[in-house]
Amino acid sequence: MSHLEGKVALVTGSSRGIGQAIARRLAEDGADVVVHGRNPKGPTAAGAEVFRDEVRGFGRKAEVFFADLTDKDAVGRLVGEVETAFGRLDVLVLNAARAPFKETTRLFERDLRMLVETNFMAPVFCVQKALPLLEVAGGDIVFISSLGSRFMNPQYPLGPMKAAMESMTRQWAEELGPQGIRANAVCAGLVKTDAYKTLRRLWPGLEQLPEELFVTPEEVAGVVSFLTRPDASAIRGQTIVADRGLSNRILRGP
Amino acid sequence: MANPFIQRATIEDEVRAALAATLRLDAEGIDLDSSIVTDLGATSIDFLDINFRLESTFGIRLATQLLLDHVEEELGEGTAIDKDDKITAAAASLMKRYLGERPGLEAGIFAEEIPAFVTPRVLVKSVEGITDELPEKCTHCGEAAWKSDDGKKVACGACSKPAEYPDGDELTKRWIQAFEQEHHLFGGG
Ligand SMILES: NC(=O)c1ccc[n+]([C@@H]2O[C@H](COP(=O)([O-])OP(=O)(O)OC[C@H]3O[C@@H](n4cnc5c(N)ncnc54)[C@H](OP(=O)(O)O)[C@@H]3O)[C@@H](O)[C@H]2O)c1
Ligand SMILES: [Zn+2]
Repeated sequence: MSHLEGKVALVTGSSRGIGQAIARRLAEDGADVVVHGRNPKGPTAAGAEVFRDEVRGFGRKAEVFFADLTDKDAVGRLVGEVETAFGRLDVLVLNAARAPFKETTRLFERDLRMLVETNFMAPVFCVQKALPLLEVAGGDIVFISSLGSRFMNPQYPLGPMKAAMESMTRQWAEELGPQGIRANAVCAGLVKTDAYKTLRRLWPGLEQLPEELFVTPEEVAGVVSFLTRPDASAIRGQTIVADRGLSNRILRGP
Repeated sequence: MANPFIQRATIEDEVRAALAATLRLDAEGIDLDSSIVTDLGATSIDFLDINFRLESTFGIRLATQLLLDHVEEELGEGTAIDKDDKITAAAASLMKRYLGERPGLEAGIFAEEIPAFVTPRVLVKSVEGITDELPEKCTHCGEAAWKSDDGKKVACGACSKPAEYPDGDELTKRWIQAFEQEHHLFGGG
């Protein structure tokens, strides 16, 4: 069960939602975890600290570090804090995301910059800065994608960013493979997190979908966990779809 | 035109109920002129829940985009929010008209401070602004036979389809255009 015993995992955006479920699962797998959020004064900061204490409760080391990942220097400081507090980094889960929800034709320049900086540049900064630690550990990178990478969703400009990142994951797998670093992605279906609260107001009919089509944060976490196991050693640069079959059928009657 | 089925008092009660349910407060104690953020403790995520509850209750769609984003879509990026994310003088005048005069609501504040000036009364106004747009006739069957069982949702008495109101984003746009035509603050037309 404890394949990550003695190892350290950093899950970006683990102050809440899917990221938190991933961090919890990796801790259950034995890892010490770095809980991370964007804003130390934001509404989710207190929850991040409660979660850190929960992880400590089951005998793992845990710290909360805040950093706006769109700021390359802040990413550098974050990795520095991880090194100081934990001394190593074995698993980097690129989960943080934030996006405007509107048609691409209506995006302001500031929306577009936020979209690209948060969802494309930030994960690249993270890998660049964490590389020295990941090399030493022979670590794993797991990117969290969404079905928007391959299917059009209304008012969801995040989709094209996810497509770019699935491609980047292949790039990393090849570029970093020789250093013993594996990179893969998990493409999740619909998950009821804070983001869903926005989506259900924008996509009429979403609330009518049967509950069994919704993926739980724990299910996403389970796939991430698998990708960090020795069992997954042959999987390189792949994106595993975990959507409870949502994308299998074009037509889905009520 | 006022919606003959939905009383303002009903909307006020439902706004209080939505706030109470989301923020775990006592509905009775909610002052309609309090700040939903600073007095009642709501976060931006709570607003999504509050709006969703009101939308489900009345069968409407509130605005999904921020008012100042709409301004910039209509009148150009930079007209309402400057490079430092602060609101312009024109944007402050417009916000005062929309939210009412509130201490601290002035040009030069950060755009992200605006939610702190939203009161339950503003939500009541947003809901009422939509329900007041009940079309004369049913958009599905053309009959003028509206009815409401609960004083909240309105449906067609002939084909029983729910009433279709314009959505909050559409009404916000119209409101901004009317404001600018009257005041010419943004230098648009
Ligand atoms: N929910 C879904 O239906 C769904 C489906 C498929 C894939 N996904 C993907 O799964 C991941 C997690 O989604 P979620 O729904 O759990 O998200 P969420 O609840 O919106 O949480 C987003 C997390 O990212 C952090 N974050 C955002 N911008 C950041 C920045 N600039 N710097 C640092 N941290 C930042 C947030 O920190 P703060 O708490 O400080 O704001 C928060 O921890 C995302 O990549 C999302 O695209 C979600
Ligand atoms: Zn009808």
